[in-house]
Amino acid sequence: MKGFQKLAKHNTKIAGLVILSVGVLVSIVYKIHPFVVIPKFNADKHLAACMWIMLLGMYLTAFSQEKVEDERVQTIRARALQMVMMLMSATFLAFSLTAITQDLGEFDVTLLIMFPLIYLAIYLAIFHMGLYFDFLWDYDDKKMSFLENLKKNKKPIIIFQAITWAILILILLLLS
Amino acid sequence: MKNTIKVERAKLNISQTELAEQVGVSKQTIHSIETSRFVPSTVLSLKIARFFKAKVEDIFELEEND
Repeated sequence: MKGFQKLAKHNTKIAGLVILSVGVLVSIVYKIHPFVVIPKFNADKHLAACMWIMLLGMYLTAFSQEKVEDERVQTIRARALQMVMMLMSATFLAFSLTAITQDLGEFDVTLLIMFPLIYLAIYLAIFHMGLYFDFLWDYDDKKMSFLENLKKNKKPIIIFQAITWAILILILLLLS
Repeated sequence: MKNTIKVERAKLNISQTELAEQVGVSKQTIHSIETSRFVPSTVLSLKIARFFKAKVEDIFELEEND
């Protein structure tokens, strides 16, 4: 598997964060005060275009190297990807079953943007939580129960919850 | 798996940052290894042991639950 990992350089992450910020800003502005850039696009397509900028920023941020891309970073990245992959597969499993049994009607373009946006947001939250807040996580799986571990780690859990909910609420507000 | 990296660092009076630079990882990784939150690979364990001019088993030790 050596050489299998293909990630962009660290500078791309900075570029990705800038694009992501621009995307968030443009999407919020569009939501508050809709504007027209391409006349043949309807409102849905305009919002989807704004969110696509967010998606591009998230993609570049998610798949760029850290400043020091060592084995700990790669382990955290692999675990975060595994969790998101499981979540994504489960969602698509349920979604495809619905598509088989129910008539879903007209396909919404924002759905195409929404799914990767949510999964990338969750991946970024888990990955950065592991990367920057792992030192706050004081666990002892062998001696303590899961609940005792959670009680001991209120601060990182609150930070993680706050970041994840903020991103998900923003996405839901944009889609509402 | 427990280790004596902190003790070895103290003997040589070097910081986590200096050790990290020498073995090619981040400071956070050294911190995670010292606090047993992250188990390093064989290659990294060998690099750390070589830096301290010691055997791997002198630095790293299995615990009963491992």
